Amino acid sequence: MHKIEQLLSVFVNGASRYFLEATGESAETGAPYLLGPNEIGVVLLGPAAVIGISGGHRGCIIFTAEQIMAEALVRQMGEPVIDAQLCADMIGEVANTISGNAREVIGSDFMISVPVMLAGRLDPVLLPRGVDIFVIPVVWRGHNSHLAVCLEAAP
Amino acid sequence: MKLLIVDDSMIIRRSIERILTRTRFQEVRVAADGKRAVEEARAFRPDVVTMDITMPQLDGLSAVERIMLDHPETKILVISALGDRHTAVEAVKRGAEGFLLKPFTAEELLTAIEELFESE
Repeated sequence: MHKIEQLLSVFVNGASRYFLEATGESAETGAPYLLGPNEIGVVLLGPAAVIGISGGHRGCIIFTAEQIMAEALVRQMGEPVIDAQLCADMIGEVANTISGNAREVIGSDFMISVPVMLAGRLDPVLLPRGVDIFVIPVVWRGHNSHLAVCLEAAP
Repeated sequence: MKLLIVDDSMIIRRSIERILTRTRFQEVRVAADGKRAVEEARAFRPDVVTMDITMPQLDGLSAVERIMLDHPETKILVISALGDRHTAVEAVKRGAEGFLLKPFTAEELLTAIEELFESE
C-alpha cells in the first residue's frame, strides 16, 4: 500500500507530465498542502471534474482550472470555436488522464470512474468522510489550476 | 476505408477525427460509450476502431471483445489513459492490435495507426 507522500508524488509528477506531453509546454507544480476542514470552497477555480477512486484505494481526484486555462487547453487541441461544453469536457479529460496514468505506478487495482463534472460548487457528499484533502497547485502558461487528492487505503 | 472513433470525451473524438481524416479514412463515425460502439460496429462495419476504455454503459475492453466476436477482421487501436501494463496486455488478449497511452501527439497516433497495417 502506498503512503500519502508517495501518492502525492505520483500526482505531482503526473500533472507535470500531462502538460508537457499534451501541450509541449511544462507546467510548474507547487508543494501539496493540506486543506483545512472549512476550506473546500477554495479548491474550485472554474470548471471542475471529479474522478471517483475504488479498488485498493477509495476517495477521489479533482481537477479544476481557471476558465482561461480551460479555454487555452481547448484551443491547444485544435478547436476553432470555444464553448462551455468543450471546456468542461477538456477539464474532465485532464482529470481522467492524470488519474489513469497514475496506475502505471500505483497498479491496476487503482480503479477510476468516468469524470463527473461539477457545476459551480464542490458538494461535500462527493468526498469520503474523514479523509484529508491535499491540493497540488499547477500553473501552466501563467494560468492556475488545482489537482486535489483525497485518498485513503481501502479497508 | 472506414473508421469508428469511440471515446466518451467529445474533445478527444474530435481531435482523433481531425488527425485521421487527413490520412487513409474517407468515412468516419463516432460513439461515446462501449454499448453504442458495438451497435455502430455492427451497422457500419469499420476497418479500424479507436477505442477508449473508461466509458459509461459498457467499458472499452468489453466492447473490443464483442466487436471482435462479430467482426474479427476489424483492427482495433485502444487509446486509453490507463497506464498500467496489465491493461495493455488485457486489451491485446481481447483482440486489440495496438495500445496508445493518453495523452498522445498527432505523430504518435498516426504511427500507431500505420503500425496496425504493418502486420498485414
